[in-house]
Amino acid sequence: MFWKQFSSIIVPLFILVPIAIGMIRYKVLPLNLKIIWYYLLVTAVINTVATIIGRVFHSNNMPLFHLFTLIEGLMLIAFYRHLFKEDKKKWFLYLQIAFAVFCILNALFFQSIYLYSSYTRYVESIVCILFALKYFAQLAQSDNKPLKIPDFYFSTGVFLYFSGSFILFIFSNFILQKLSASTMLIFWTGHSSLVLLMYVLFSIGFIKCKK
Amino acid sequence: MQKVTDNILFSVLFAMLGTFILAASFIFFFIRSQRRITQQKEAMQKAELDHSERLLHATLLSQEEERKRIGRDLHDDVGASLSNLKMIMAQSVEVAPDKPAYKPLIDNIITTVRNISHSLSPPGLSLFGLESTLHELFDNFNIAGNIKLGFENEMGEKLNAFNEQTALALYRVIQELLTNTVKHANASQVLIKCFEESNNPIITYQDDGKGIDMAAGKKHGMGMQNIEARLRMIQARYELPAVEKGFFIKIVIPAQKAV
Repeated sequence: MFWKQFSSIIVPLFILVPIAIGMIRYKVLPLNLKIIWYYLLVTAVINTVATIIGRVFHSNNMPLFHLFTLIEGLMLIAFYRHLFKEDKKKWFLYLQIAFAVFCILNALFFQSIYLYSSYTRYVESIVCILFALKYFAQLAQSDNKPLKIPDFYFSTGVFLYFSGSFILFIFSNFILQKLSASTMLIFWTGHSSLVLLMYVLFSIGFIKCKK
Repeated sequence: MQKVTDNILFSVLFAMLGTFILAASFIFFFIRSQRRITQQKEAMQKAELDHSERLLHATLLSQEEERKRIGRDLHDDVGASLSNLKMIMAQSVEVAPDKPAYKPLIDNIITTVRNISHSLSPPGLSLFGLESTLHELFDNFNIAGNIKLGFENEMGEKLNAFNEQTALALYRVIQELLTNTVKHANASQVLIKCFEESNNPIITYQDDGKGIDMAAGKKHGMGMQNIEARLRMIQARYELPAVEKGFFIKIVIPAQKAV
């Protein structure tokens, strides 16, 4: 019972913590962290709407997750676009366009909008993991102490979340279709723990933002 | 079929756990290696800084030694020779009374040599201590009488108890501050106070001149850099609190220097 509440109530509500801290620090946030703040806001709204659709109207809310994956991917690429200031930014734009096209094609031809969009989540995970590794490689070249840099917490959050859950994304449709609700709970508890870890790291990142 | 499903379930669970542990380990070792690299860099920077500090100290010490030697040579050799010359001239004036014009000229040269010798190396510092040497310095600065110089010593004899290196460094700092005031400040009053605060000897220096631009930060002139270097040499620190008018510096000398 607790784990069900943990996955369906505690973790989704915990998103309010980084949102609140980000709101307090909003004026001192650089553009890339403002993007993360809006990403959290969009996540909170979509999660709420998805819960209402699923629980109140007992309808399939998977189309909303297709939309969420698209928005999340575009926002996280935008986050890294502004994080890597010295890079040629047009590549990030091309990547965003390519990802958006892939999401639309996936929904139209490969995975129905009523199924979990595992392919796009999988691609999104790889892109985010690669960007996070690129960020760590850049950080290794500098004299900065990682734990004092807000961006480090955001990249670590993204890196740990996508590294831990991308295997779950591969098997997500299998898990959703084949497993019983109690078995499925084990997976979603694992996923929720990763989400919680990401939100905690985002919260620390916002706290570390100073003038 | 159930067995296959269970196998897949466990495989997925372990794969998830495995990749997470891998990623978390990567982050852990990354932070640890970055910390070690930063510590090594900081240690190297500190070693470089210590080395340059030692070089600076050695330069200042050798500069003082050289000043002392030149001052002594000027006083003992040139000064003595001039005094001899003065006596000889006095005798020759008695023989030829129409040439007394040399006397004031030689007196003037003797005074100049003595002043140069004293400014190069204050002779009274080891003999009479910092306080009387400072009084001599103030007398020399106050010749023109444009600046009203105040000196308050609440430390009493403790001011004379500093070792020679500390006393000389403080003397040079006050000399530099006075030079700055005379050259740049356009001040009419200077007040120097010596007192103790939590066992630490304190010297404050205040003038009512133009003051310095605090916004300029550390971009002080050579004078302030000399002051910083000499204070660092004796492990003293200084504060430059903002004042309404003029310039104010508070020098805090470590308690162990007041022997």
